[in-house]
Amino acid sequence: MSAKTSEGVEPNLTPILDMVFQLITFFMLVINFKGASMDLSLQLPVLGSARPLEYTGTLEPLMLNIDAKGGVQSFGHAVDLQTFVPQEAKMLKLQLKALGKPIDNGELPVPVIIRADKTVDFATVLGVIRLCQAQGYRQIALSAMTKQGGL
Amino acid sequence: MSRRRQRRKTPGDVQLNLAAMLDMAFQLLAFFILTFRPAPIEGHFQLHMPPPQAALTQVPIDDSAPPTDGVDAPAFVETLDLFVTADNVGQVAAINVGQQTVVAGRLTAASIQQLNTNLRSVFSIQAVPFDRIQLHVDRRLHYEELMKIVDVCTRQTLPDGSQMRQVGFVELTTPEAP
Repeated sequence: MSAKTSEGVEPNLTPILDMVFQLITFFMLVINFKGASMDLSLQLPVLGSARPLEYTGTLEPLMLNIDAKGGVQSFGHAVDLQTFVPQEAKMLKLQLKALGKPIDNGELPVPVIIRADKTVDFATVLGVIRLCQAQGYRQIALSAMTKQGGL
Repeated sequence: MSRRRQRRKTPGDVQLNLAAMLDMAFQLLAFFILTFRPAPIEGHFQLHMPPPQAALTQVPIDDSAPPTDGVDAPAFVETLDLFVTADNVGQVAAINVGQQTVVAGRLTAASIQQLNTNLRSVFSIQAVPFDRIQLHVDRRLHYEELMKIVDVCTRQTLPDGSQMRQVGFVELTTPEAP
């Protein structure tokens, strides 16, 4: 047998590469693209009977986050509702027109998801709902945690 | 010059340089770890709102009306009105179903059950086929309390077996119960 010198030692990288690829696969599978549109600092009410959203459309629902002070955020940015919702509705109508989908009775076929802090008063939530209704959104989904702690 | 003996490589003995691939894999791994945000376990109460200008009617609840099997049920549908008043800290003070006070004081598990039982009995009167609930809510009520009431409303089953989805919201004009 020939004696190996220390210069000739090469680590076997195959197992570590296997492990790293497995980790990458795991993180790719659990990646959450919707998280960008959520304000995770909000304290939602906890109600075990809340159900996953029943929506199979291809167009993205409009998500509005209402913080404890009544401010509205979308995709991490504070928005002015009076201009933001009409703008989104206009864009949606253009998308529907491009896809050749009719708008029945002025009702937009995309839900609005309202994630409001549990201490927000009703007047603020109603203001947001009314604005959405006025723009043609009829499907309103009110968010709640299904478990205490959330994660 | 070094006189290290080189191993003679045969044509079939190709060695990949794994170091470069490992570098790239680590970079990808670092990206995914840094951007990892687990999705919160959230659910929704999906409501179908009426158009803003919809005319809504209110009828008194007639408990003496005999239940029907749906054969003689009238063709029209009605809106059931719930009046929710709040105290100064945004908690429920009282809930009225039509003219009847169902909950007095803050919401507890027992009062929620009471409200649920009351609504179930109202929806079982098929002579008045309610298909919509209109919540008249005090502007001070907290969203958490509102959701508890919405939860009870969406638990109700319509005569056709479907779940109640048509829930509308109106701001209560006076802080006192109607």
